[in-house]
Amino acid sequence: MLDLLNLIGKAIENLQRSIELFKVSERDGGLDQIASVIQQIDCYLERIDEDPLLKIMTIDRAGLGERLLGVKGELASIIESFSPNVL
Amino acid sequence: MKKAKDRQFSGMNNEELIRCLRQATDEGTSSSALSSLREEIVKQNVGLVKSIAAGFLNSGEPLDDLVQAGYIGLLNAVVNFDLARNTRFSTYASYLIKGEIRHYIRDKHAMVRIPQWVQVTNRKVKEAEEAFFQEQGRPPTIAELAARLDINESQLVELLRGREVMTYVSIDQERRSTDPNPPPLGMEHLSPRDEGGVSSELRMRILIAIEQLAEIQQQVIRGLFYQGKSQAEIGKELGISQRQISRMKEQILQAVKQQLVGPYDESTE
Repeated sequence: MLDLLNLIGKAIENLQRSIELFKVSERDGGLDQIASVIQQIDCYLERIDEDPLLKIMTIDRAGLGERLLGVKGELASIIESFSPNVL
Repeated sequence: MKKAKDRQFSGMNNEELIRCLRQATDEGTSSSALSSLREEIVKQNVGLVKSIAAGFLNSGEPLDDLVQAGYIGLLNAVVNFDLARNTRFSTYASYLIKGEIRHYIRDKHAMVRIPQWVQVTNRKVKEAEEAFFQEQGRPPTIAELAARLDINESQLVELLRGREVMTYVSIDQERRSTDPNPPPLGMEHLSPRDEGGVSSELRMRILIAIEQLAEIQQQVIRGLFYQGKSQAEIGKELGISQRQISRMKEQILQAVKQQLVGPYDESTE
């Protein structure tokens, strides 16, 4: 189970890596990195109640969930823009 | 009483009125006196707002609505104008008034839903333009604006052109009305893809996602160390000791440090 800070740290790392891969024309690799972030966010949100970090701090969980879903939606639309129908 | 105050302010120019406003704010003057000062500044600049708004009538928007949008720019100028800079208030205000009117028209005339990343980027461009104008007393060139936004010139030109197609008002035309020799925005400056093959749009969208995640990260760190419950309260809720909570926070802090600077390498000592 990833805690929120670990999730964000890994997600940022994956997204930075995706930019690097796109730069060297590794489109599939770049998209894989983005897809893994989407998957991590999904996994995290499914088990958000188990996050030990959230248990020791005050945070608006609903708002946090919405913001993560917003990021996920944006990343999903990036992947969609590469689908064969769009290209 | 109000009339006496009005007489006191009449005859003052914009800069003098703003100086009075700043002093009055610092001295904690009553809100009614501050309102009178603001009203006087607005009154003195009604003509400026209306004349600028009239220049946008070809957008098809009613003059009253354009003037209302212009007032927002004027009020922003009153709040943000820096007296220490060698710029006239009317020059600074004109820039912000035009910016707000353009922004209003762009929102009204958007033919398609503007993606969030474009909205965020446009806001950043607008803020950077305004900050540059405040500091230098003139609009930035493409190169200067790109440097401030930490993107390359071709990416900025793409963004500006993207902004242009979302409104009937040409930013190039607008730039020409304030600057007889604006930087060229021709197609020759456009590069649909960076050298490596990643499009600017794609890069910006990913960077904005990173930025949003980083904002959440900061909020969590603040919440964890500055705004959270006391360790005793948390311990009571979780049924563990305060010492254990303290250890958990220490571990989290170490993990955050590692994320920020990378793993500690003793061999570099």
